[in-house]
Amino acid sequence: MDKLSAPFPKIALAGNPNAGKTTLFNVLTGMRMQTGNFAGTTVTKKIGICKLADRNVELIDLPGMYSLEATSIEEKVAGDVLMGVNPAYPKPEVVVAVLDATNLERNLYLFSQLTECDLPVVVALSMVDRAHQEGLDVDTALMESAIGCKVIPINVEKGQGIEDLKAAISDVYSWGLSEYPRPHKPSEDVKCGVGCQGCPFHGRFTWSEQIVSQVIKTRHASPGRLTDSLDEILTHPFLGFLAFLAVMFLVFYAIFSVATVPMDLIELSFESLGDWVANVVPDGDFQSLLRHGVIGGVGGVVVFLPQICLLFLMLALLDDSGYLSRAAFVMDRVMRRVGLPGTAFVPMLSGHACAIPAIMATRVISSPRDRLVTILVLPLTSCSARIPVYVLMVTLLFPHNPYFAASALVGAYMLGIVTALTAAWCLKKTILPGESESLLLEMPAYKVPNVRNALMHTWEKALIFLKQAGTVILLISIGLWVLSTYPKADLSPDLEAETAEKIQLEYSMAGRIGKAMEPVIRPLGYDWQIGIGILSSFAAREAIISGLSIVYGIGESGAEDSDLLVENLRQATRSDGTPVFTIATCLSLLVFYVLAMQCLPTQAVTKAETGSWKWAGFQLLYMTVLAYTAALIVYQGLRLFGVS
Amino acid sequence: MQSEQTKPLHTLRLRDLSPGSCCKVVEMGKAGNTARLKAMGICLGRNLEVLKAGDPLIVKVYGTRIGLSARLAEEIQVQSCQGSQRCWEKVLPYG
Repeated sequence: MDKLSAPFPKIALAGNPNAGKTTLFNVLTGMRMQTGNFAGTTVTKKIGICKLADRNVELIDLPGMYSLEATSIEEKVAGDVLMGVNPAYPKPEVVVAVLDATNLERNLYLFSQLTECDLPVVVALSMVDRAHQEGLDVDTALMESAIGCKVIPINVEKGQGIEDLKAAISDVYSWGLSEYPRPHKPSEDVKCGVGCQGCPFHGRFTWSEQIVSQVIKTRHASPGRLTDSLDEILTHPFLGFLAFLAVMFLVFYAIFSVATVPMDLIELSFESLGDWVANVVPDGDFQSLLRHGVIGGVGGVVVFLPQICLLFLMLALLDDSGYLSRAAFVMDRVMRRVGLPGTAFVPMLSGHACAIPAIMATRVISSPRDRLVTILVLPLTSCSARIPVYVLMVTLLFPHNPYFAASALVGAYMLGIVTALTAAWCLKKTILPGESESLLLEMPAYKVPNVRNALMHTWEKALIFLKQAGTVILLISIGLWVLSTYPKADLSPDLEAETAEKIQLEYSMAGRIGKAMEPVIRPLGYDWQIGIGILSSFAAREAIISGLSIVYGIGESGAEDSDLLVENLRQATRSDGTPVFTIATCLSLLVFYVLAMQCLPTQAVTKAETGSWKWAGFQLLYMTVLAYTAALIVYQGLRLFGVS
Repeated sequence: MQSEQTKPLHTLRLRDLSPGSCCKVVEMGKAGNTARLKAMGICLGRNLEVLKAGDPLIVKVYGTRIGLSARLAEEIQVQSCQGSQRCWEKVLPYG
């Protein structure tokens, strides 16, 4: 009960997806908001404080919904809150219904259900200017009397109607919540409930058509000409696909070019932080824990934050412009064949930056089966953390041939994509049978995206990622630091630092596991040093580089000098004097890194999003088996053909 | 497929309409199990305009466009609207 006596009155913002609810929420609350999840779900809960003239109220942005019938998790959550049966959130006191003036019939369908929640309702009529351009002018006075509640036309971009809306909400409290008149309910025969012969939706739509025919006054223009002509191209089976590739190329070009500057800055600041710790904290295990476990481990993952933010920013802009639903439309043809829905392409795409936000982005997929398949195959797409490893291997393979080097890099990416799609197909044929859910999505009219909304969205995603880095990733980094630090080797003090590091790592648990692994990884062409590198990759894949530079005796700082590292690796030999990094070994290692699940932070997110370690374990198992088998075939196959 | 006998002969599957044609939904078939489809406005008695045929296809219902796969559209039985008038013009009267 103490939740109900929370300091601010609670107001819910309800409306169809794309009705302009989030834009309104952002304007009403400013930056004063918190995001989280509704208890027990992955549905985002956004709460903010809105300042009215005479009081502050707490505003909750309910997920977009078409009806209270709960046809998706989002609608279930939103409906439960409105009906006061969500244990994690009390029934709101007032509902602000955001209705899109360009599509009033369908928006009124939801409104007809909201009238039955026995709550005071204030209507915010959005997209009024756009409706006007399309020749639709809503007579708000008539509408107020037809539906029996206050209707405030708003234009968030121009700031019109916001103060009126706030005043209307204040007005509800001046009246008193129980005295404030409720909106008109459609009559009983319109609702056509259980046991009704016809379509239970029919009556409500007929009701809303009647309302619209009373309140919309003019109609002189044909709506959506621009959207229709853009759709001719963007949803065309062939041209649409080309357009999709072009858009994705631009997105990734921006990610990999613009993001390098802030990434270098982050790397630099983590390095200076490490140096600062080295100066302030006395030498010893504690300093090493701080520098290598905490700062190094977390820094290694946080360095991808700029790429992740850019990706989310661009996806948010594309989504708001209306393009993303067209991309899902075009991709549905391709994805459906392997048992994935068209909506899975955004997560698959995000996976090329980092699997963690990508797995979180699978929340847009409504069918649980489709979502699970997407999560399971997602880490096969080549994330940014693999790039340093790819680059190292490709440099070892083709040091003097940039054309071959570039082709090998592209090949690694293609291998990841093709394997992910094949894996989805295999899952469909085996443990997760069934068709992907039929495509059904709204394709809103194109518009100029709202930059402010996109920035807010990016900020929210960045916070979630940083929270992960601060908790799970931190723990994993510390765990791996312990493995590579203990037990302590008995080192004589006059050893060189590089040699001491090398002996210590060999002696540590990580070193011992690496050596124990050698019989298993020998057929892939790896020695125990590479085994340690693979182990250290579990914090973040690029850690193999600092791992290798330690075991090959150039010290951790050697990892920063890539020429020195490549030179050292090229000269590394086995006990019998043959070189370690042959063509076969490099290719086998490249294939292994494309396919292997070597990222504990991703595993933690898989667990969080699927609700069980079972699927995280399955993911680790199948990807490891796949990577091992593929690397084995590459290495042994090449040796068979005389390439060593 | 059995239910086809009970339908008037001039109904068509939504999937088979060509772009630009207007129609009224007369039966939802198995697609009627998809509540989301109906809540989005594709339900009995609604007027639709096909904007793009094929799989998936795009229909216009009220002021919005909905993309849906042919698997759903082939369940939906429709009747062509009469004359050259477009369906959304019939929904709303002129001022």
